[in-house]
Amino acid sequence: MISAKELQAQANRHRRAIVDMIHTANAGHPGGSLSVIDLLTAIYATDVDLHAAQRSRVVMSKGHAVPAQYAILHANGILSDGEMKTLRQLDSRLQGHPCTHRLPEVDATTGLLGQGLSQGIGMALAKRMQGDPHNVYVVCGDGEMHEGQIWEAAAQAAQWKLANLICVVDENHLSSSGFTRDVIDNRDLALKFRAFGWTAETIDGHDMQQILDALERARACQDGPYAIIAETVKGKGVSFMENNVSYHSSGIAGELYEQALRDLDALEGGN
Amino acid sequence: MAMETVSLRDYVGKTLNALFTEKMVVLDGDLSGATRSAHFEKEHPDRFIECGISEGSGVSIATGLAMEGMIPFYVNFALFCTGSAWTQVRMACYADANLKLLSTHPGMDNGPDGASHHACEDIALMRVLPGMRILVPQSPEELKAAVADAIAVHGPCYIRVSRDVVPVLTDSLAAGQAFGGAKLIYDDGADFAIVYEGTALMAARQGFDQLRAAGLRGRMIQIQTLKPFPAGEVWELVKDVRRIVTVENHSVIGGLAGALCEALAGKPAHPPVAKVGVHDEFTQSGPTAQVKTRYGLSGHHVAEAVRSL
Repeated sequence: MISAKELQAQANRHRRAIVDMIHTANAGHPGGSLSVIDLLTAIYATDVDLHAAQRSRVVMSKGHAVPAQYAILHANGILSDGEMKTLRQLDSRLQGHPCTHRLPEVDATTGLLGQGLSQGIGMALAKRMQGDPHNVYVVCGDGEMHEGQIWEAAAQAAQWKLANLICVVDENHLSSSGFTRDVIDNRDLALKFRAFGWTAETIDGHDMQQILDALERARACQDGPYAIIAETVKGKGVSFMENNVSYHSSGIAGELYEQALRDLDALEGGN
Repeated sequence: MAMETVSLRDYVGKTLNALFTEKMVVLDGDLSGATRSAHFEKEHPDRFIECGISEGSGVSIATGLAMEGMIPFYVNFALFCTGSAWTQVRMACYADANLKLLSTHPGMDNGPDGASHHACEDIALMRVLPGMRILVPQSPEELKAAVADAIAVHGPCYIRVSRDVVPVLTDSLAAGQAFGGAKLIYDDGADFAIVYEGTALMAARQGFDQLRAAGLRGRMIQIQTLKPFPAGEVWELVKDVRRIVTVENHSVIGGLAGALCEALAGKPAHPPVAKVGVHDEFTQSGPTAQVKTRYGLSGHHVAEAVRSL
């Protein structure tokens, strides 16, 4: 069993890959990729064997944070060093948002917010029909909770008691134009999921031990779908990006890139 | 002339039952009674998913099922399959997901419910999506062939099924031919060609009969595969006629007329085309036959369109 400390070091190496990718592309969504990477690292490390034919799935419903997923696919040998320099370039498998047609290992084609939880439900239903014991993880943003389809899906997952479905909400409190509470206040997301019939808990999405424990509880829960509301910091790990809405969608150029590398070097597991 | 008629929607559930495979899943949007997918629910309750009144999520769920190797048929009214869930269908096409949409109540088939429920745009909405195939049967046998085709061929597919009655043809030249592409149904001569989609068969046939009674000799050509449009087959059937009339239970924008004219536009010369269907307006409530007649879809309109050229 890999330790929380080692997983955190892995996640921080993924942070470096994310920053490098977006620097090279000079475009992307660094803030949301950095806020979700600790969660994503834990999900893949504990329950997703990317080289198995039948396995647990990860739907990046917040598809704009796909650099985080690419960093993990790279670390698992799915993407080469050379490909990591082709994010958002013509003929690359690394599209701006996940596309299974080009890169099946991303599991779901997303990018239009709100649709991933429903897709995850379809996968979870299929696994139940097929007697496949694996899980389906759907990773959403908190801005995405504004989408009505999320709540259609929340009701459906509870209706069908999908115990193999886990929704992780990367609650970084910022969407494209500002604080989500100022755009449309999500209020208490865990309370809302519970009202829809889910088991739900709120954790610190940058505390690796808390993440591991919550995922363990989610997998053990057989009552129905499980939501983990993870409080995170947008841009986590890069000083000038943290809680800064300007880095929702942005390249990372020049001196700022150098600064980002220095910040990441200072983290545990940094180079 | 009395013609035997049939409403294809009555065969939706029965056809899915007849072609059931272990991978098949049928999804509903709280309309299984109206679409007749209830017949499938009764026989295969463990493969039937009631999504409730939730078209967007229902189509995304079907996409997720497809990504895990199932063959999902999302069955709903035409407008709900295509319009209410358009971006969800679009993402399924982008993913090349094995999603099947099966709709009833196309065009003005649901006359009394009015314009909110009329689907005069569904062909246009589906036709612009890369990878989407569109199949339109006009008989229970063709419906079965279309569903079998959808199961056999990987990728997104839209099957449009009449809710209103269509005539049962006993004298079609295409009887016994494999489903797909364009079919020559009647061939009396080259005065005109009526090119139609299956849910508009009643108006097409009545128009053909009226023209025949008036002494004109033409052809009736059914387009079974609206996409990919069988341009070459259609050209061989229409290139020598004096004029063409398209007949569709749909807007004349973006549907069958659009597909045919796009195909003909590349020819140095071609017969003139008149378009029968809804002419860029919202319809209204009424008995279905009256609504269709008011908004341009009747045998009379077909005959008039031929005479106009």
